[in-house]
Amino acid sequence: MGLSPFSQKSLASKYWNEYTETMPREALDAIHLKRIRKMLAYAYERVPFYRQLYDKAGFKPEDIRSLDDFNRIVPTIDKKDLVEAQQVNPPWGNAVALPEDFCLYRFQTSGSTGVPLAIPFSYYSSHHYGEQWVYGFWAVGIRPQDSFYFAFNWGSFAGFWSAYWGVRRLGATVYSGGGLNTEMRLKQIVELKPTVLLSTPTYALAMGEKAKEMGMDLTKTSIQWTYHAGEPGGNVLTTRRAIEEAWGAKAYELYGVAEIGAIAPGCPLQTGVHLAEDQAYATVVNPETGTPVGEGEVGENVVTSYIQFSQPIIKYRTHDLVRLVKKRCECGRSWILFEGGVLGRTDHMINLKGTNVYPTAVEALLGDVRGLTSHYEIHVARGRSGDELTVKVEAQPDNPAERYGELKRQAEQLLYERIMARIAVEIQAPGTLPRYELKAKRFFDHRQH
Amino acid sequence: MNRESLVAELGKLRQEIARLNGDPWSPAVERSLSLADMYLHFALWQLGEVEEVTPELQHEGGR
Repeated sequence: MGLSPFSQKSLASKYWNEYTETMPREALDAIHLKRIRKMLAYAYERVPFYRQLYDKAGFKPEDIRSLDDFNRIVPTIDKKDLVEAQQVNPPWGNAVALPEDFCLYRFQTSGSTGVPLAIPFSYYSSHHYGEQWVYGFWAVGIRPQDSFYFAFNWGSFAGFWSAYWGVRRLGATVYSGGGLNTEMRLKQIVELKPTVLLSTPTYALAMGEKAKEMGMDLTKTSIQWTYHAGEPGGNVLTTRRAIEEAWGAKAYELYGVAEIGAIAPGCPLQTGVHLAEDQAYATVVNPETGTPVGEGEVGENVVTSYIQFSQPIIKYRTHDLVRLVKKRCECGRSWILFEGGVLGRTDHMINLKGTNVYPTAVEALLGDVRGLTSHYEIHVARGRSGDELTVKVEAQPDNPAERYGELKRQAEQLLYERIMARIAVEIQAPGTLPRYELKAKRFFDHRQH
Repeated sequence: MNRESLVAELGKLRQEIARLNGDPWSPAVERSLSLADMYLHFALWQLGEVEEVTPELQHEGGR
């Protein structure tokens, strides 16, 4: 082996930071409490938004002496609270802790669920944000001698910028796919021979389609890993399988929330994502009552970040639905597992005659019907007897249109058998649904219109 | 070296950097030493320690 920024001892480690990744629960919780108390004091002292909120709730940071106190007493916040704070006094409002001189990066959310939220990061925050990616890279065997291809246009989407910070921290090589179309990126991959592809899962599939059109076999390229963020998919079995087959590579996913961080890198066993517990604290709650759900149940992820120093995030409602598993993972990590990654959004959850339906569950089942693709849309509308769901999904190119009726019947039957709810399926011709480079728009809610 | 000794050594290094940056040689050297301090803070963080939330505040008034 040639020169490396790491010693042989470090290169042989299966963990990026074994000390925290395998720490017993009691020790992890002690760190959580210590860091939560620091963040509460920091936010109360420096951020008018939090000071007003906590004064109104009738407590001071020093009153929080246990995780139970924190879970019971400290109020949650939501994205709309931060958006409102910013609108009062743009660009940052009264929710930032550091002077503007320290806000070195300015990103924003896509605005897909409302007004975009401006997101500042300090220089030090950017290092921590990148660190969370490195946990995931290192766990699956990616090392400094590897090289990353960023199939990404370097806009204001924080997710892949933070991945870049992670690659920089790891010491690996960066190839930028910015300013190029899909065909040019595929040609660059052949030319530059990167070992890791970074993209959204849907864009990895779109690249696979384009490669077929170009007569390219992606399994013959240098890519050994694909790493995804921005939307669920990397942990949806059928989607992951489709990506892995297209690229001849192992596919992993990191769960991030732009305004919080890259909070949960993928488990190397591909069972879900592990919360980076040295950098964030999470509780999983019933989205309607706010009470914690039991282990193994699905609930909303409420997160506190220890690394967002510019715009502190304390008990933030992500609206992401996750299934919490606390027992030590077979991969060796003690960090909690969100089994299956993000399962859906609270605002995308549909109740069909008493049955909760999650879009990712629909996606996973569609992949089990031979002849269908991972390109789909879910439309929900208000019917006479409650919500009605229609799924539009593309057929694979080798299916003649005469087969669409049979594909529809198979898909509807499978969805009914597994979800126990009637869901209409409309089969679409290949290439008719839009393709996306970043977050795919899968969910269309017609109930308010 | 055990964890406790490493934490103590890292703390000493931070104090030494603070001393050197008390009278900066130049903006370039001051910035380099500030970043060295930031990485030492990061190392302490990775060892489960944290004294202040972010070392950036020690240089408030300019980046």
